[in-house]
Amino acid sequence: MSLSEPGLIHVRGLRRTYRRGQVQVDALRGVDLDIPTGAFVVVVGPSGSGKTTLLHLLGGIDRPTEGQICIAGQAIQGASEAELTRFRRDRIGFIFQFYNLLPSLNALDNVILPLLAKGWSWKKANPRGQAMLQQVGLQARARHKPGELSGGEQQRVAIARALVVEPAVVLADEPTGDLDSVTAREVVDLMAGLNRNLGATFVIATHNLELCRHATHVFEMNDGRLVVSTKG
Amino acid sequence: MIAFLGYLFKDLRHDWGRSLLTVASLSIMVISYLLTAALADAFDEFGSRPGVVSHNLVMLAADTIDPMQGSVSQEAFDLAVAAVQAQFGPQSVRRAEPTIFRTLRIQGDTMEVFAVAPVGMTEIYNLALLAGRLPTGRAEIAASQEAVSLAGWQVGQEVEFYGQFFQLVGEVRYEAGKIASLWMTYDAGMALFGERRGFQVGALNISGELDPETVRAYLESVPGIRPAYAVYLEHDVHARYGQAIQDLLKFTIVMDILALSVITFGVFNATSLTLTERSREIALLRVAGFSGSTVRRFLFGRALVQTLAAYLLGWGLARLVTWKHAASSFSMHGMHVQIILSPQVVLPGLVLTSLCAWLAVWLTTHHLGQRNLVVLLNE
Ligand SMILES: Nc1ncnc2c1ncn2[C@@H]1O[C@H](COP(=O)(O)OP(=O)(O)O)[C@@H](O)[C@H]1O
Ligand SMILES: [Mg+2]
Repeated sequence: MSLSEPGLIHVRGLRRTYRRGQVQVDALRGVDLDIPTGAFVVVVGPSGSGKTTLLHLLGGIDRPTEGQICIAGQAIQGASEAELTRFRRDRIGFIFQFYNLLPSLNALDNVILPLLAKGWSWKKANPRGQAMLQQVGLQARARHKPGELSGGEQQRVAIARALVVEPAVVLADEPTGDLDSVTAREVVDLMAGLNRNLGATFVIATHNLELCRHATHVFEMNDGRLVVSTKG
Repeated sequence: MIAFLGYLFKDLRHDWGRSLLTVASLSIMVISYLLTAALADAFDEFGSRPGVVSHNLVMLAADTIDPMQGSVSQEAFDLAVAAVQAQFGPQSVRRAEPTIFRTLRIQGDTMEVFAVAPVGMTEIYNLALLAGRLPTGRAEIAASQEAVSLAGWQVGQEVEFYGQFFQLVGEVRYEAGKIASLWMTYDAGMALFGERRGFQVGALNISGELDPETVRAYLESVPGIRPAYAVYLEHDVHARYGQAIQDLLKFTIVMDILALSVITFGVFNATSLTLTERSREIALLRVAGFSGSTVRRFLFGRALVQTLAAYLLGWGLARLVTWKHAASSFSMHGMHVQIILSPQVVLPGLVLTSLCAWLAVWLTTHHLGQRNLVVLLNE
């Protein structure tokens, strides 16, 4: 990792401390990292090492206790609530481990949700959503509600949604954690393919070492610190 | 905006069972609100004073609640006339007539029956003839326009009450008491009701130069009048019932406030439930880039649609109640009371319930913007 390279994601001295009554938990204890555009970054580490916290901070879902985050030229540590909302909407795609989708909406409507947040009409957003569903191989399931989709299919819909606004970064927190190994592999291959074909930047926290095969960078975390970073 | 509404309805449809339950329970309070408001509205006119101030004093037995239960003795009435003349001059009493008074249920409607000499009808009670003529014979009556419209009579037809047939010879307007009233001569009244209970009202028309309240107060102080008799201004007698009802109607305001509170509470409850049950969904919307205020607007839209649906349903059911139920149209103390859901009842209610929904959603969600997204995600 070279400091001279400005990169897409630029993080310095990142700390996040949770206070639970009297007890103070240091989830992140000073993380520095730089990620270039188009990277496929895998973050590994034991449970509780701070992976989720890091992703939340990068995605503007949570605010750091200390440190700087700059993504696509935008410093987000001091951003207002409205700026953070816009930042999440325009720059970030987020994929959680499970329960990513709104159960009342079908797959297509779930995919175009970020476009609707931007103020697009349903009509204008629909073709874009269809195209994204095609990218993840689910064009035939557009009208299905999440309850009618398998776990793997739901994750594909979530991936399509994360990519629909052409975000600067897709952040995925254990996206295969809830899937069986065969399905997990398909989802991994899908993300790696989208990274290659669309040039989308991914940062993925995982226990699944399979993902490392595709990684351009692997960060290993332990106890709130980045302990090893290797280039794939 | 279209997308916003589209999502709103997709969401409500998905959750239709719960939505329906919310709508149904809210609509019950809407019915309660509407019927109470309609009741208050129906009685709004009741007992309001007429525009004209008459110079009539009426003397009634003091020890009865209902004037028809008592009677005025001829001696006391003569004493009253003499006392006023002695105090305010011989010209002060323009006319004095004994009047028989009954409240009767005639063909299902409550009406007030006055029996007074024909000269009293015009000179004291100031009846204005609208059609036909005033009664003169024993078997003739005139009816006020309220009575005519209440019973659906035609001038010239026969009317039976108290075991006797009368011919309706005229329609009149009785300005001081806008009530359903029947008028017959004093002799006809005596023949019909019997001599034993005499007359119930001593009516005095006093000179226009005198202040009726001053004369009334004086009369009540005359020994022999007090304490057996009470003297009222003519229109106050009619307003007396109205006042009691107006006092009672103050409770309808309380009832309406209660109904609106329950609606507010119901929306509050439904929205809190949505908020806790679906915090993950709300967090997902926020992560996808919807602002806190958009989410709040969405929740308000949801509540508003439910409230409006409940209002519509409640309105329909309340209409059914007032339409089906005979009690929604009745007469009381000679006044026709009809409970109808007029626009001035329904529209303010609509605005008020919408405001209640807004208040409830505001109360449940005003802190939503400050909620930590991570906490919301994991709830
Ligand atoms: N909301 C929170 N409140 C208190 N402690 C938290 C909270 N979220 C995470 N932590 C703590 O921060 C540490 C890092 O958690 P996390 O980022 O979820 O790790 P990982 O995703 O690697 O398992 C853990 O010790 C966890 O208990
Ligand atoms: Mg985690």
